[in-house]
Amino acid sequence: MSVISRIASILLSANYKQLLGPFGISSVPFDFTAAFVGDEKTLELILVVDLFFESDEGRLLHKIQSLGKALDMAESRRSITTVLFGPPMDPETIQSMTKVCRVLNIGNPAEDDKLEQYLRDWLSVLLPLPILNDLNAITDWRTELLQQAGASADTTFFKSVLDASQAGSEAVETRLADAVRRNALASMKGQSQ
Amino acid sequence: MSIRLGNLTVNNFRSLNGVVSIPLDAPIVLVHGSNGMGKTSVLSALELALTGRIDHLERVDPHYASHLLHQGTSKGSINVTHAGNTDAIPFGGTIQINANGKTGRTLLSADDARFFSERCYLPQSALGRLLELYQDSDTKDKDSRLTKFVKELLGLDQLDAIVDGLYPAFNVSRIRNLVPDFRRWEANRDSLDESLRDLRTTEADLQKALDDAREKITKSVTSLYGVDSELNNLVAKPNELAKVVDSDARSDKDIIRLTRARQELLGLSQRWQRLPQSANADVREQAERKATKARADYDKWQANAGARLEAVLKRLRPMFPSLPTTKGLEPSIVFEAAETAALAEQDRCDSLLKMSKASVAQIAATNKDIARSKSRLASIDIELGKLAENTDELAALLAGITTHIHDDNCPVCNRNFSETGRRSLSTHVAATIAKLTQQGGRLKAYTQEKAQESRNVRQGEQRLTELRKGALSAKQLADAAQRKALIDECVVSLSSINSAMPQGSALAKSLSDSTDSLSLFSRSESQRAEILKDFQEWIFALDGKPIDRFDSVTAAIATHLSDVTKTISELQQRQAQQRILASELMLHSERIKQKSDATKRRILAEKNKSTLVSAAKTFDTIRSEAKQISNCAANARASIVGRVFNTSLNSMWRDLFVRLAPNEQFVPHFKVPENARIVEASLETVHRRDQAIGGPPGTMLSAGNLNTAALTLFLALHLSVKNRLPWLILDDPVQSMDDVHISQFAALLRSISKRLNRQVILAVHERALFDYLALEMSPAFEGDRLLTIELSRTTDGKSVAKPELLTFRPEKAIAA
Repeated sequence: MSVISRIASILLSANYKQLLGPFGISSVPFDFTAAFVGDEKTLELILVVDLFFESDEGRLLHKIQSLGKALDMAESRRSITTVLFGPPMDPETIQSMTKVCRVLNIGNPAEDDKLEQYLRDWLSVLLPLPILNDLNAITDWRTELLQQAGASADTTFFKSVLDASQAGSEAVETRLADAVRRNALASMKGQSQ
Repeated sequence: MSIRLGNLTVNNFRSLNGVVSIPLDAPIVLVHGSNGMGKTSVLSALELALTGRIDHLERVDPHYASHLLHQGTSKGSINVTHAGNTDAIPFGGTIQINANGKTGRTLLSADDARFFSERCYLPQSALGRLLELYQDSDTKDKDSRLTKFVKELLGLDQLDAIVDGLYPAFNVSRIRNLVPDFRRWEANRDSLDESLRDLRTTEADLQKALDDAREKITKSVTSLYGVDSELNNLVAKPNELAKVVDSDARSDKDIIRLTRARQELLGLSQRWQRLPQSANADVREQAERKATKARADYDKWQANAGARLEAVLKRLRPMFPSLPTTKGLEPSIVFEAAETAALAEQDRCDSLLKMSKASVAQIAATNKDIARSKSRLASIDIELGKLAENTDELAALLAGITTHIHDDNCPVCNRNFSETGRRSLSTHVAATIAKLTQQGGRLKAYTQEKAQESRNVRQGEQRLTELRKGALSAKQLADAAQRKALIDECVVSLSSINSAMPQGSALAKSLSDSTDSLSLFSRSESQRAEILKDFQEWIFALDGKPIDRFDSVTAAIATHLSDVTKTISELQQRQAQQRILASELMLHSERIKQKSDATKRRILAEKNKSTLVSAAKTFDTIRSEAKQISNCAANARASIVGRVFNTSLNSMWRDLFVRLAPNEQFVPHFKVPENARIVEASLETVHRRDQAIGGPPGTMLSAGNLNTAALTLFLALHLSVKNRLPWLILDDPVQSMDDVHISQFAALLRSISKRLNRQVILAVHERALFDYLALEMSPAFEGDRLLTIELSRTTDGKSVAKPELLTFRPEKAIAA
């Protein structure tokens, strides 16, 4: 899978919609390697530029600046992110570019098994935040403890300790002491004279 | 809780001069102001009204509260409200400020306030120190703040409580300290061990003593009663055996029998030895001859003097029947008795005859006296007839009258005595009294004399009677005379044979002696026979055999005495042995009881020991369970910690960090603790591509990326915890960021606000950035809003906050 395909795949999976073919603003057409817009929660406009094809850096910069102006003129609140991949660009061009948009200069990554993660890292700012809700699930210490304990979780002592743990370590210690004391005293009391 | 802050009103607080009202009721609030306009003061005022303190000021100045008032003012206040319709938190919080400090009520509870300070609000001053903050080890606590955070984040308090609470189970000495009774139990166990050892030794000793004693007893029983005796079977029942043996020891019938036999034999022996030697025929004949001669001599004497004595005795015996006979008595003794009696009777007869003669004379004299007295009595009676009676009484009466005679008039007849012409009445009476008294005297004398004579007559008659009684009658007198004559003759006869009596006595004694001697011989023979008979009986009783198998009686006695003595000695010895055996058996019985008691005590101790062993096992089980639970808790904790950091927090941090710094190859990373028993968080970096571990962030990251690391750590922590307060308040966090980072940051904030529904309040000082952020975070959908606050001052220095609200308008430039 090509880099552009992977990028498209990643963005599409994040609910971005690809603008098919050149798009126009106030009847001015703009054409990039690929373009995406965000869902209803974001006004993001993502331009994906394959620098192997857009080899004219000046033209590319001009195109982006024009796009920015066109959006301003249209009183649009969309923000632009430009994803660049391919040969290195002149840093000054990029610097100029950052005045009008967010620039993700991916470079020319090797197509290996780490490419996907590499691209996701670069694009992560555009991607949804990780799902956080499962933190509670993985911190369910009670389930974890019961799993660790296995069959021994059925003992009275285990249950007693578990109960006491709510009140803190001293309460647990007291349960331990009680168990030891009860056993010691019972065995002494049970002795025949 | 999905609740937005509503409004903040600040009056004279720090750099804010006068009253400034700042609306906050929007998902995103951007506060802009050039330096010194009060951006930080606005956020500090918000923190103070929410939490009651300003954490970053307190760190550098504990007395910061006295510097909160705006310079030159005397009082100020802060009020914050929320825009939600909830009772979960108070509607508003108000803090009053003066020169001394602050008072008032905060909007948040203490727990929420702490959460706000740690997870919601990132003051500008804290950003740069954030990594250091979490890496710093607090010397007072064992856990660093980062570790504390991790534990709190994961809610592992209860696992910690289990691990810490069961910690003593891993070491017995800690158990001892924790449970003093356990120490007591151990002492009890040790003492029981010792006691059990002692009891076992005692029991073994007693058993050995029992075995020895049993052997000894068996030997004794065999020795005393023989191998075949049934008593051998009773050795196992010492009490019963002791009774039998003791009874045997007490049974001394044989000893008594033999002792008596021995005494009898001894007595017989003595008697046997005392017997005279058997007389020979010569001695016996001599004795018989001597006896014959004595008999002849005595008979000869008896024919002469003896016959004469017999004759006298014959005459005397009618008078003296008690006189002894000559048979068996020496003649001289009989003679003396006869002579004494005869002489006495001779005296008596003489005396009797003399008295009779005297009595006759006295009777005659007495008759004469009586006749004279009677004659005198007759003359006295005549004289008495002549004398008047009662003269004395009359004289006494007259004497009584004299006291009544005062003249011659008679007090009796009342006549005048003078008429008689004689002497006076009183003289007459006196003379009469005198005459009467004289007559009385004579009468008394005659009367007395008459009584005397009457007595004489009576006494004479009495004596006469007595004399007549004592006087012998004529016959009596004749008999006495005749008796005297007979006695006189006997006395003469006795006198004639007196000289022959000694010889008679000698002959009689000689005869008696010889006769005695002969009879002694015969008596000795009978005694010998008697003793021999007794011997026969005793000896036969002893051995059932006749005595005549012995050469002599003496030998038989000696043999039997020796045998009996020996047998007695043997019996006594046996008895002594039986007594010893009986007492040994009693002792043995006592030992068996002691052994039984010792065994019981030992079994009891073993039972107790078994209880304690069982308790020890239970204790081991408890410890083992406790250790297992503790290990499970530690493992669970480690597992959770590992999982959380690997899959959640580190992942979140990495995600956020990479969003802001896509060029940076090293990403900061929480180091996952490997030791399950210790949770200690620290930070390191990891290479993005090959996952190689780098150094701590401080040494691996550029200053800008370090800032980014701090910012993203704060955001990661904020996002990793439960959404307790949905507020994210950042004070100019982009100061040292380049354009690339800023644009990334803007995208991130937008995601956090719009995707995660956090209310974001952000203060920035740079105008261009402010505009950029305002664009980036523009309302993207219906209901979305953006509030921008422009802080400035009037010419007189009063603070001014100018809010502007941007609302959604449909995007027309490019249709989605």
